[in-house]
Formats: sequence, C-alpha cells, structure tokens
Amino acid sequence: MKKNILIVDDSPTLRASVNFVLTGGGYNVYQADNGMAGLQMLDDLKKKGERVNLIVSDVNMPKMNGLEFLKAIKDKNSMHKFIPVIILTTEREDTLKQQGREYGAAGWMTKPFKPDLLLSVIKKFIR
Amino acid sequence: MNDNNVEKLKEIFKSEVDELVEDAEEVLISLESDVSNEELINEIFRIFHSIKGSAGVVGFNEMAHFAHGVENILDRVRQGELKISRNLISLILESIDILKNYIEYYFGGPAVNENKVQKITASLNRFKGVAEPVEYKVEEKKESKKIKKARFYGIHIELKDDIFLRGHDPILLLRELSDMGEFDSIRANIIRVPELEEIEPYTNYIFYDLVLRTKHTIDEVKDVFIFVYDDNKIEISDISARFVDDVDTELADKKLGEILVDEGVIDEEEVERIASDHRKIGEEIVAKTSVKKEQVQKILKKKQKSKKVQIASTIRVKTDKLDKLINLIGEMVISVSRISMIAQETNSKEIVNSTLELNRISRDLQEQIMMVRMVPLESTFKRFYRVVRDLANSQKKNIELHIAGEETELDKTMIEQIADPLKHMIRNSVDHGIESAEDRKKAGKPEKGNIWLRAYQEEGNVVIEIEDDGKGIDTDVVYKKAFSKGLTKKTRESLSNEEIYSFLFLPGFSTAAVVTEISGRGVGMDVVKKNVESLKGRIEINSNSGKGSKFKIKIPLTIAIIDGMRLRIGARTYIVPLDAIVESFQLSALDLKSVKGAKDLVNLRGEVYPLVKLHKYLGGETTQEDNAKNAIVVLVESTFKKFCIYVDEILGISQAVIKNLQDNYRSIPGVIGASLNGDGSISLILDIPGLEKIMDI
Repeated sequence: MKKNILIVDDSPTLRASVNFVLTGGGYNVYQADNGMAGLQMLDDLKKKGERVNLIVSDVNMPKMNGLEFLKAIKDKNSMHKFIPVIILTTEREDTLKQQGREYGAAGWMTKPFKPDLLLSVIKKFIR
Repeated sequence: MNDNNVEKLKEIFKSEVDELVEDAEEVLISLESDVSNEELINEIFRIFHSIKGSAGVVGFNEMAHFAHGVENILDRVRQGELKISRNLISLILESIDILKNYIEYYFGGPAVNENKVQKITASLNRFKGVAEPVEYKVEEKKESKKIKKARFYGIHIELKDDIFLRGHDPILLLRELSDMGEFDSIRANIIRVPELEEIEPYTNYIFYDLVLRTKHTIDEVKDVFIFVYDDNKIEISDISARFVDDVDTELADKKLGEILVDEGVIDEEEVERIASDHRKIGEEIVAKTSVKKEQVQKILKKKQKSKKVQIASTIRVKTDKLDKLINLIGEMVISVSRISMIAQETNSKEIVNSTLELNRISRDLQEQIMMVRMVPLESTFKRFYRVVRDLANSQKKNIELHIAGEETELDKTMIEQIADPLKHMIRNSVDHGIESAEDRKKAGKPEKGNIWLRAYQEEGNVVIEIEDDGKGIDTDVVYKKAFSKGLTKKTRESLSNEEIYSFLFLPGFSTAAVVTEISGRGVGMDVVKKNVESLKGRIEINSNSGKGSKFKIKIPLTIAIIDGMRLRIGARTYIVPLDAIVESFQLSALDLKSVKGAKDLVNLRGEVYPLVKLHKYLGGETTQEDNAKNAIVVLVESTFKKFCIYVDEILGISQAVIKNLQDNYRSIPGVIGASLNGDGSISLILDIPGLEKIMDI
C-alpha cells in the first residue's frame, strides 16, 4: 500500500517539486499551503480513514506557521501526535530548527535541498 | 523527475514568481511613502526569500543567488541595521527588473545582461553590513566514501521512552545500519521491559547493543542517527582492533554459556539450569563405553587430590569463627600497644624498636583480617536503578540515579543491615524529594530530577550519601506537622534546623500530601535511624529549600573494634567512641548554670548544652564535688543533639574491642558493651544516641 505524505509549504514551486519527487518515489502526496490548511487536511483525511505517515512542513508560512502547526500536531490530545514531522528551514533560521526539535519534530532539513536527499531522509521514518 | 514534470514545475515557478514580483512592486511603492512600516518590510523580505527558495528548487541557481543577495540586504533592514531610503528602493526595483530578465531568459528569452547584474550587485554590496551574510548553498546527499577494509563499530542505542511520539522507529534505524554492512552481533536489551500488564504500548523500553561490520566511515554510521544523536544516548566506537581476520578475539577467554548470554540467545538462568542438569564426563564415559565406574572414580580421586594441593583458592568459613578471630586480633593489638608503651619506659632502643615493629605487624594483621569480611557495595547499589526507575515511572517523574563509589567495601553483615534503610531513603527521595515535572518547570529547574548515591571512606568510616536536587526539606512544614501531632511543644523560633530535621525520624511522621504505594507515610524513617544506630552509625541531614537534600550515613568500617577516649568517673572507667566527641574542656573556664528545678546547663561560647552526670544514671560516684569548678567536661554529639558529660579524668585514647553485654550479662541502656582494660579491669563503652534517649535531653 502506498504511504501518504503531507507537504505543507506556502511556495507552490516547492510543493510541486516535492510532489514530483515523492510521487516518483512511490508515495501519495497531499498538499497544504499553511499550517491551518494542514491541520484541516489531516482531520479530513482521518475522517476518510486515510492515514498520513509523514508530514514535511515549512516553518515560515502565513496564517499559521510551521512551529504552531507542529505544536498542534504534537499536543497530547491530538489525534495526529504519532505522525513524524520533518521541518524545513533555511540557513538563517537555525534557532527555529532548535525550537522545532523542542516541539517534537522528528527531523529537519535545510532549504534548498536536492530531491534525492529528501528521499533518503524520508526512509528514516517510513519503511 | 521526468522532463514532463520539469516543464510543469517551471510553469508553476513562473506563475509563482510573476505573482511575487507584482506583489513586490506594490509593496515597494507603499514603502516609499511609509519607510518604517515593519509589516511592509517583513513582506518585501518574505517575497525575496520565497523567490530565492523557489528558484533554488527549480535549479535556477543564478537567479536564486541574485535574489539571495537582495534578501541579505533586506534582512539587515528587518533587523533595524539599515534604513529604507529612496536610493535603496530604486535599487530593489532595478533588482526586480533583473529577476524578470532571468525569467524571460529561462523561458527562451535573450540572455541576461551581465554588466547590468554586476552593476546592481556592486551597488547592493555597498549596503552589505560588516557581518558576513549567510552563504547560499544547495544541500545535497553526501557522497559516501567507502574505505578499503571493513571496520567494526560497537554501537549502543538507547532511545528515550517517548521516542515513538516523536515519530522515530528504532527498527528503521537498525534497518538502515544493516544496509551499510552486516551485524556481527546484535542484542536487544530488555531489562527495562516491565511486567505485561504494566507495558505502555507507546513507550520504548528496549535498548540495543550491536557490532556492525561495514566499509563505511564512522561519520557515515553516525549520520544514520542524525536526528536522534543529540537527545538520546547513542554511543558509537571503532572496535576494529579487537578483531583479527574478522574474528572477535575477546571470545577466546569467554565460556560458551557467557557468549550465548551476551548475544541474547539464551538467558543466564537457563544456562545455569542446563549446566546443573548436565551429566559429568565421567558418568558419560561409564554409561557409553566399557570403562568401569571404579576406574573412573580412582582417577577422579587422584585428580581431586592434585587439585587440592594445587589450588586452595577459596574456602568457606563460618562468620562467627571469623568474628572470634577478629576479636582476638583486636585484643592482641591493644596488648601490643600497651607493651610498646611499657617498652618506651625501659629506654632500651632494641626493645623499643622491636615492639614498634610488632605494633606495625599486628595492625597490618588486623587490617587484613577485616578485609576478609568486606564486600563491595556494588550489588546493593545497582539494585536501586530499578527501584528508582519503577517508582519514578509510576509517579510520572523523570529521575536519573547516579551511582558513585560502588566499589567501596563494607562489612558483609553491615551491608545486609544497611540495604533496607538505603532503599527506604531512596524511595523517600523519589517520593518526597524530587518534585513533579510541572513543579520543577515552575521552579526553573530541568524537568529531569537527579538522585546521587555515593559511597566513600573517610576517617575509618564508610560514608553513604543520598542526595537529590528536589525541593529540599521545608522546615516550616515539618515543624507544623510535628507540632500538630504533639511531637514538640516548643516554638518554631526556639528550634534549630537540625532539631526540626530530627522530627523526621520520629515514629509515624509524614509530610507528603499523597500516600504512595511504596514509601507510604514516612513510616520507616524511625526504623532507618534505629538500623543505622545499631551499626554505631549516624545520619546527617543537609537541606537547602528549593535546591535539594542530602542525607549522609556514616558507619564505622567495623563494629567489632572502636577508637575511643577513656574517661574516669569516680572509680569507674568508661570509653566514649571517638567520633562522638566534639571537644573536652575544664569547667572552671565556663559558665555553669543551674536552672531551678531543671537540669544543669553548660554555656560554651554562647551555646548552651545540657550537662549529664553519668554516675547518677549508671551508678557509682564522682571524686569531685558536684558542680566543682575545676571538673572536666566532654562535649559529645549524637545524630541531632550535643550534650556534655561530667568526668573526673581523661585517661587517654585507645582502641577497644567491644564485648557484647547481652551475651554475658544483660543489655544496659546507654551502654554498647564492655571492653577489657590492660590491667584486667573492665570499661563500659558508652552509647551516646542511647544515652540521649534514656536521659531525655
């Protein structure tokens, strides 16, 4: 069965590129352009009985940023708390990476990155 | 990504950038008339940030690089290091034109005018701050550099309890390792796995020890753990030196059973059970060949005889035999020291020297015989890891036990007696000492609490310390409780901290609001004190409100012999254990107070202590007049209190072998036992904590 990955990023280009790479790698990809939309999508998928196996999320986003999104997912009453989250930051956002770790991020990547790096990181979380 | 996708991606990129560029121009125009509007500044920064990121994703690196340069300048504006000026705005608008040129170029238009790019870059550089801007680079998968000869790495993986909640799966880590080479051995350690009904399915209990044989470098192996390395206990070491031609040389000296246990193939008890079932080779031979039983037995006897001669490595001795030996040697040591004193008076150098030699030998002998009974505290201490872990878990606390000095040795029977009190005190530290995670957070402490269990030798005593970084003992709470339970009638102000701590050791005392399964209601601290005192030991409490508590148990290395001060009161001699003595002095120099209808008090440098006249309790008389001004007083201390003993003469310091009174006579409260003096008379050895009790000081 195909594994589901949710990508949350405000850049359509980044979402599209990740989408192409992951689809090519045999994954099902869902997209959201900010944290709020991401949470909504998780709830909708859950209702449909779809399980999300991994979330890749940008940090710097409008409406709800990646850290707030992460906090909501890892909340102890959250239905999604066991989903691993990889956060994407840029070089200048190193402190955000640290914060992300404290909030329960499973992994982190620095943007921009080559697509094959993403695939090898994902293998640490999805068998 | 196939070509079709690349084209699609470029289209998406183009429409994203078109939109961003449009936004950027709009923001810049507004910014021109409102130069310090933070919202607009953040917006323009974010736009260039996005353009850079997206261009990088599609692989338009020149464009990404150019956008990155502008982003750096805008970051300085955002940080307040640079002011927006008309000049800067024009420059950014020109940069936007360059970005548009890049887009045109990437979609089949003419090449971007390099001169123009350089000119703008140069202008932008004038705004560059002192601080180096962040480098722009694309992160990619590192090339793996294989090494020629396979290496062996010993890897210990101990992931936190809540690792699943983070989304990590230990099995995936192991799988990744196995892709790098092969496991020479792998063992899942399950000692932390609780009973079935206590297992929480989302908790990680297992840790792993493995040896990986691989041609990858140690850094590449470490990279497997990149996301868990910092927060978990991962130890990776190159142990190739242990292996010769891929064979683990450490196995040579190990027994098969041990290796099987190490590898986790079988557990220790099973090996022992099988080993005990196993028929001896002699029996096998008799059963399976024509060799007669008698023949085998004859040879076996020969072998045993030879073995007896060759090595008499261990023998079992009853402890009471050993105790007698210890007592005798102790008495010998005392006689020898007396002989050396007499020898000194003869003024004969030869006699003095040889008695000194004898003295030294007899002390060595005493030390050696004591060693026989000593065993390290290790196995007692190690048990507490589990105790702390289980108890902390059941209370949802995160506590680490740190053990030090477990190699310290103590008399075997004393270890048996100290084990229970220690367990109780450690439980108390977990229960009452370390706060809940929330309370610790509120107090600004790390969530994880620590308990230290240490042992060391100090001045002929073994000291065991139990320290925690919990909330400490609140003396006010303790006092209130003691007062409400009628344990004291004194006012808070009149009591020292030590006196308040002493309430903790009274039967039935508890300050914990919640009664826990294990440490219950403080029942037992009185028992702890009793056990420690029966070993002639003492407990000291140090506590710092909010920072933690430290309990220090001091017990003498052995209970059979003590160093003591010999005192004379009337015609009788007494011995006071040396470690109970604070100081001695002549009363004349001091203020002796008689409070009407109460006990006598001694004022020493402003501190007032009760004065105890032993002859009134233990019989006999003094040669001094009562309250004589030139009498001698010895200040002693028990666990929590100090008091003075009134004596006629101090005879000196000596070692005393304790003879139990119960065995020969009956036990006397306030007296540990008796000791034989050099002239054949007897001294009573005083029990200071016992005296404190019977005299109700």
